[in-house]
Amino acid sequence: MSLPGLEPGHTGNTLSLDSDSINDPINGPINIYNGDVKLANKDEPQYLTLSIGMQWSLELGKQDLVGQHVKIYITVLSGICEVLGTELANDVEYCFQDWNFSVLAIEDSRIKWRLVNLMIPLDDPFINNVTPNDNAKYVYNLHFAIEKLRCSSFTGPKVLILGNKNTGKTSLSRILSSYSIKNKAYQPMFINLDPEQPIVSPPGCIMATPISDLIDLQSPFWNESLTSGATKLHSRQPLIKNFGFEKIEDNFDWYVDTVRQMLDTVDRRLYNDPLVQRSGCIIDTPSCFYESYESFESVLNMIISKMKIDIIVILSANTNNDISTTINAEPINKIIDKNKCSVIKLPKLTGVIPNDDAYKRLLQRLAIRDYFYGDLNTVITPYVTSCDFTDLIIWELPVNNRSDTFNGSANVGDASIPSNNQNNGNNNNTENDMSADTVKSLTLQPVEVNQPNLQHAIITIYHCPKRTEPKQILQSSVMGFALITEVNEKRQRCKLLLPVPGSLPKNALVLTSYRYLE
Amino acid sequence: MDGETEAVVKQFDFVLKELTFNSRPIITTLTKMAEENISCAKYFVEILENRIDKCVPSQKLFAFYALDSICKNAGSPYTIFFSKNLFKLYKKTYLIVNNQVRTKLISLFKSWLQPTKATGEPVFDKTTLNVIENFLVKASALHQKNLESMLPTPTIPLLFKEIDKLTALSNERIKDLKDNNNVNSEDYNKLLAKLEVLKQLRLVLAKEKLSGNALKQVQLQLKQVFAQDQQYLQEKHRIQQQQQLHQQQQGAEREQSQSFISNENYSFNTTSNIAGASHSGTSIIPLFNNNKNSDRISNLNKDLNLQNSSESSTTFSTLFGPNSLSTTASSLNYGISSGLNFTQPNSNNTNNVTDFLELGKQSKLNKLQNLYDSLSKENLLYIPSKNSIVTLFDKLNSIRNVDGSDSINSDIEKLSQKLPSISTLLNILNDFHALMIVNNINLDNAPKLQLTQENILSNETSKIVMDNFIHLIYRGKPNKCSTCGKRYGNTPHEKMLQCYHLDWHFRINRRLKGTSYNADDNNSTTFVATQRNIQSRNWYIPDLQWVGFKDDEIVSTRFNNDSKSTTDIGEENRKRNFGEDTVGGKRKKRSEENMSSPQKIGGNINSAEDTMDLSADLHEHYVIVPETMVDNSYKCSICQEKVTSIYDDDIGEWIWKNTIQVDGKYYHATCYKETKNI
Ligand SMILES: [Zn+2]
Ligand SMILES: [Zn+2]
Repeated sequence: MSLPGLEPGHTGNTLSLDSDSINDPINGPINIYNGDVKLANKDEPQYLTLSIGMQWSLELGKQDLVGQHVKIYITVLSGICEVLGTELANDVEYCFQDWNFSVLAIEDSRIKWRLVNLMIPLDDPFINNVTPNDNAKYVYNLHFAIEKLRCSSFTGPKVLILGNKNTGKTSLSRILSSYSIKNKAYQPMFINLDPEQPIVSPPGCIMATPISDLIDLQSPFWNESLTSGATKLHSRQPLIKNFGFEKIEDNFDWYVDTVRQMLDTVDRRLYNDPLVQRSGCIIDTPSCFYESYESFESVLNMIISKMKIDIIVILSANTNNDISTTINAEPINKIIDKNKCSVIKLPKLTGVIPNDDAYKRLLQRLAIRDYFYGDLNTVITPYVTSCDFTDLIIWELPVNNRSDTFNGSANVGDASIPSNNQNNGNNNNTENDMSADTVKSLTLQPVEVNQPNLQHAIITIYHCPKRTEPKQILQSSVMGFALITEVNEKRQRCKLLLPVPGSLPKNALVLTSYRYLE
Repeated sequence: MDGETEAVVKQFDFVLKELTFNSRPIITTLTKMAEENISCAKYFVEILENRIDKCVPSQKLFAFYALDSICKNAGSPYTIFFSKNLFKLYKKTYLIVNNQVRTKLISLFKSWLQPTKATGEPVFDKTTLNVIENFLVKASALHQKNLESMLPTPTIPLLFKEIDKLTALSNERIKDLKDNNNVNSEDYNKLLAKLEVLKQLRLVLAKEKLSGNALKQVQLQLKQVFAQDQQYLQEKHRIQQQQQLHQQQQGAEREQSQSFISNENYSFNTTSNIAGASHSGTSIIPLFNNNKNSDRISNLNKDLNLQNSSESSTTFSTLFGPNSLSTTASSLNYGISSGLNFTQPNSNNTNNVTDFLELGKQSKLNKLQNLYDSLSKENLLYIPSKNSIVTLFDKLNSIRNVDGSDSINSDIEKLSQKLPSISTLLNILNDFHALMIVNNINLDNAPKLQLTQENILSNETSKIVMDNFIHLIYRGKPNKCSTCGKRYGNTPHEKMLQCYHLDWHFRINRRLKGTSYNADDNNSTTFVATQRNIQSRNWYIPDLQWVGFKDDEIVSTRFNNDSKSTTDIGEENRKRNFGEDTVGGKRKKRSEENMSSPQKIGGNINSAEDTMDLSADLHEHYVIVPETMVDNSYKCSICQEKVTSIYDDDIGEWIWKNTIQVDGKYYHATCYKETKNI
């Protein structure tokens, strides 16, 4: 397959989107496949019986034989099925596209499914991947142990989830979040610390939101935010902190600062919101937290102390057998106070579909599209506006890939973080406390307004006026994002997409590393 | 109303709204609620009266059934409350429903005249019942007139046809008598005489020229005779049924009763074929013994049945008595004790057609009751127990069509098709199982759920969790939303939440479907959304505001019109303060503008009382269109003008200009001010 700007191996910052395949796969060009494979098509609903405990894994993040995006409709006819902890309504047809997920049978269930206009061999493993979910029972055990803690204190359990790549950290977070709102009306705070995976936000952000109602089981991004207007399910009012880079190591100091800002704000919310406080927190982390543990020791310490983490769940890349023996060898034991914090090690979740870079970028593109155009259920219209070059004052943070960051020798953020703790979140960083390198990492630089710099760029709009001191901009709240769709150097004008009608707010703007080609 | 009452009343209202068909389960639910919440009687009565008054004619009868059931089962104070407006409602309803429903209303009324078991007195007081009876007498006299005018103008060929039909009918009876070796009976001779008369009449008609009036007389007389014969045939079926009832074995009870129905049905069809072929669907089915008043009565009945029998080829008719027997023993039980059959409208409703004037004929009913009692005494009746599958079937199978099939097997087949599916039964069993478990578990008393590495990975914990605790997050809350799958429990609070939740789905879906809006001409924006998610989109709120945000503002699905409550106002003020921060000199949007409660409005004016007089320019008042509005327009109740929303660029919201909100209603700010000043 070849999508413009998405040739394999493309690793640049540009996120491109083929309008045919993404915007309207159904009405896209009709491709005729002449092979002799028996194909599933829309005229043939298929039936599947999932026995209790079986899991049907669907890999929709890839394309079919002719490069179309796979779209599947699923109806649960009887029994109980769930997607990552959220139950499907029976006799309702759900549509899924562009993500890898699985359907778990809680009871013996009968499922009807169909594919639309797609060329998929019926024996393709992607629609036949039914396996027993052996580890679901541990997730239930963990959930009810956590639920028991919720019943017993006004300060709910604070769970930090760590683990290797592709062990199911985000799935576990999502399942635990979903389960926690089922029995009682808890509203646990979910925090996503992985800027590479967009959850209730465009990519490049970290995010915190109480899970106060159903997670949208059709959405890889969990839920829409209130910035999408009215949606089919209740949306979230998230706290968004913009990191803006693709990789944490692109500006590690800024990442740490972003996390610190977020946790300070979350802490104040918990103080104000007894229901959320009581429901606890579930924190999802990028795999580097665990894999490059030594580099992140200070970050982990900051999270554990700021959030008063009492449960650390480690998802092991290994299988069940050796877990109990390896638990004591976990390096994490070195940095935590065993009296305050229990460490639980679980085998990796059953049926995790490994994420590759292409899939990660697909989700990032979709999250940007989602922010401006809505999702499968709710189409929304972005507002098109334009402005003169002279109206644009755009800043950016430098890429400061400190080679020492991930080899264990860096002592990240140590200078600033402890003093912050003592001052209870007051931002009193002074340049004196920081190394010169850190100062450099956190210094905004003006961006020259021209086509190469800005075409297709996502820019962050802050809740502070245009002329705000650069140092203060980084401490401000994120108001939203704009997409620069066109930079006309001749006429010295830019065209932009905004989520909200109106002209471009006269606010501080910071360029992100993300590009989106419509 | 306190909160609990409000919840119960809301629930009652919710259930009542589901009563769009004749559903015994719904009526039972309503009755139970009425019984259990006597303190809410006043509100229930109000809601139910309102329902009878306001719902579409086709559903009024069911609401009356609910009233009936509540009054008969819960008794006073419901009977007293309902008596007040009963006549008014009854009359109003009677006058706008079709004849089919009228007959059912009459049956219903008739049942009210019978003494109840509890008090030995009729359900309602005598005055109320008398007024209704008088009304029905007048109404039936009108019917009589209508009927005569509805009969086709008698012509000689038409009368010939009638005579031929009657001849055929009489011949059938003669054949019956012959088959039964009753050739010497009085009836046999009478029938022979009747045939002779018919023959004579035919000759007369053929020879002589009679006046229109005379022909009319002949016509009416023929109808009367016809009614007698029809009557006879129905009596015959009734006797057959009784005989079969005697033979019933307990186990075969259901099948038997089915065969009654098909048998009776079949016979009736035969009868119509012989007797009513030329009437093409308007065959007349008398229902009563032909005595003294029979002329008028049967005519009324004919009238009442005209529509009925023409509407449905599957209807059949018997006497008041056998109609109960013709169904199952269980419904016989219902039928006699309550005078009402909710369960099987299609098989029973036509049977129930009786004339209120025939009430004097209690003896018939008494005879049946006696028969029933003696059968039951001899253990010849099978009465299904409360938890039997038969009762369950009756409940689930509340609508059953009986067609004219003469095959018992096909009836059984149909019956089994209508049995609940395995998955339905499994659902019931599993829900029940889960409920039993959930009621007996407690997270606090579960040492195995102490959070330790050993416990989480232990098989013992897994077993306890998978056998017990897991139900807490699935079937322990048996009411699963059919739209989103969210589960709700059985407590009144949970049920109330589910009501709100359903309302919310409804509103949001209506809204998401998209409507086309026309922005005001003099508005600057050209943003007209069609088939799109038109309502406001927002920026993220500032961190400081997020710190004070409560998610209940998003997830609260309650549509609250009571903007006066102090907590709401407190809430309002709190939010207002949050909303005042500005960026870049512009008004900033506020979190509550996205919320679902209509009273949470933005703009310069939040309520009429507090700031109305402070503003110099009334036209500056506006209200942000609440997300909960299905329609983005409202009608000012003062000037009747329709106000459509426009998009305001500055605040980024759809708003109604020159609008204020008072007590959940919207008015032009100018209109309101003017009216208030007068
Ligand atoms: Zn729902
Ligand atoms: Zn007006």
